[in-house]
Amino acid sequence: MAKTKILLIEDDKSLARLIKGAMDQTKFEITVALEADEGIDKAMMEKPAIIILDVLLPAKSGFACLREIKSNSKIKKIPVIILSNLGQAEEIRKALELGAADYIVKADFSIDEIIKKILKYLK
Amino acid sequence: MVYVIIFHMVNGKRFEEIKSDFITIASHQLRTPIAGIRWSLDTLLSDKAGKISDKQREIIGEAYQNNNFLVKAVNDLLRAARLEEKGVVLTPALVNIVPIIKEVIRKNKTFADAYNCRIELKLPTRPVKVYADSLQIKPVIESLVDNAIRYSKDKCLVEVSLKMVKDYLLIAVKDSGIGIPPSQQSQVFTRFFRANNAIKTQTEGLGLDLYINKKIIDASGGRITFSSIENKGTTFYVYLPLNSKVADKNKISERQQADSEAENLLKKEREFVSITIHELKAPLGATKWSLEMLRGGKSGKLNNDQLELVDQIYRGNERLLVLVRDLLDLAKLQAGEFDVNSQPLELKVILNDVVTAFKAEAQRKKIAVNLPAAEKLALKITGDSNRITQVITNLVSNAVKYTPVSGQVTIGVKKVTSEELKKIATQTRTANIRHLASRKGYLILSVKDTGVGISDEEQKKLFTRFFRGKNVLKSKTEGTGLGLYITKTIVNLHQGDIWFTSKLGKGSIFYISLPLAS
Repeated sequence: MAKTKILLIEDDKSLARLIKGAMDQTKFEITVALEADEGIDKAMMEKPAIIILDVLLPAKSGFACLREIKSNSKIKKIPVIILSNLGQAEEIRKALELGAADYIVKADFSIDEIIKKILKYLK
Repeated sequence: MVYVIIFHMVNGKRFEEIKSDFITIASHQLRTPIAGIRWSLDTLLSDKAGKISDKQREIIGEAYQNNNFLVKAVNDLLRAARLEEKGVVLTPALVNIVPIIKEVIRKNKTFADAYNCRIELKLPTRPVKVYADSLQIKPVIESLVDNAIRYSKDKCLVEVSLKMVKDYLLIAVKDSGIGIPPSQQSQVFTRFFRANNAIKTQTEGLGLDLYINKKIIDASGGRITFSSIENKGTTFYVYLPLNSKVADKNKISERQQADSEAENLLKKEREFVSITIHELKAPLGATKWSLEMLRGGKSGKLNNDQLELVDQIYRGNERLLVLVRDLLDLAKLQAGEFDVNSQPLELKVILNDVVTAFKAEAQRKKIAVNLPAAEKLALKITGDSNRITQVITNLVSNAVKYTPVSGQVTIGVKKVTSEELKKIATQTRTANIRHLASRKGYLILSVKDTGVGISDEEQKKLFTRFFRGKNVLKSKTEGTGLGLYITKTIVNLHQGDIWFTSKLGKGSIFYISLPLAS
């Protein structure tokens, strides 16, 4: 069976490694992008089943990235979950308005809980 | 409130699309290492990096609890700060509350398991719509469930039930916990309230969440009450309006609210600082011990993957300690409570201490830290020994941090008259020297590195709060972006100045001037 592709746009390498390590490698293929543009390129190429997107990224913010994803007809149907440590009501609202499927504040969840949330969108 | 005092200074500044006021930045800065620590602890506990012993599990479990407290503390601080800065800003709509409550219960499952606690949910079968801001109501329910578990005894039962009461939905959260002593029940919703019996159980808490909850529920046109019997348990009742008409009728006017609190707020500002210091430092200190125990190996040997995770947690914890220290310094500065305890100081002693502290780090990066000849160091200044050490430590720390492997960090000292200092001020573009009045002349201490240097654009913002290379919100590693701001403020408080010269790719030299004592 082909592995489910997941794209993780996250510039913090150690956090990306922790998420990757906690997921079942036999079922999922996790690609990491360190920047928004790299993430959009990889999304176009790999057509992942889901995109996990950080907000504070080096060159372009996650919000700008989300906007581009949602206005690109080739990838706009892929669900995007925001995974950030920003998390005021206004940021959450903004992300949802831009078309995010969910908004997860990193520090609020254990790694298993985050993975459960991700899996929910893959069903 | 720390965050509020400081907020006014940065109010209105925006980077890109992300609001970067103090609260947002501070909470993001705190949460980043907290999340890293949490996930690393998760990975250790899951045995994915290798099987751990029972003793190790116990130690890691303690670190986990401390981390859990930090998450809650930062969230509460943030919510409280937002509230006091802007009041309650609500975007209500008709929402189905059932899925929200279900999600809250799911989220608290791990926590409940850890306390051997069962959560029972009594829901009506059909959807229940209330007129409220779901994003604001969710944390209210979350904190009530969290408290119900936290203040319960082992093998407890928490019941969450929903019921229609006239124009309202009543959400009841019932626990079988320690209860609230009758004499203190009238204070439950005041800021920083912590019941005597809760303090005794050593359950950590800031005493902010019920205060926040009440504000949000009141502003939503609802009501929050409770009934409690000591040693039997407490039930919190949240009434939420079913439609906008009911909501509007009940809203307490903003004016009314503002009046009753203005006084309360002033009184508590100082208190807030000390509470924050205590509450955030203690769990960080405790975590440090836990990690040192794990590293020590008495609880079992760690493999390389596990050691790497422990090191990662350790670094995150150290970063939080620095961040908390800097944020507290900043809060004190803003509140005018920053103490400078002046006395004659020997430069030699301070410099030796600083250089010794960086020996290991410098050796690791093969950086030579050069001190001036001993006879040049026989200078006396007047100042606060801790603060001056902090200033020089910060400059040397930056120099070591931004200098690549095999580089050089050189500390220099020079004695100048006021006239000579004035001349330097006019000759150096980047030097804004304002303190020139010392009759005994000045010490100029310089810290030169062979690091990356500072770009023209960055130079302008170097001493502003939260500055760190480009945009602080974009860089997540190292530093708090508060160091140079605090350094400048301390130097200024000592009637001295700080300036620098820098060449991109070549390195920077930072200078401080301090009045000489003799």
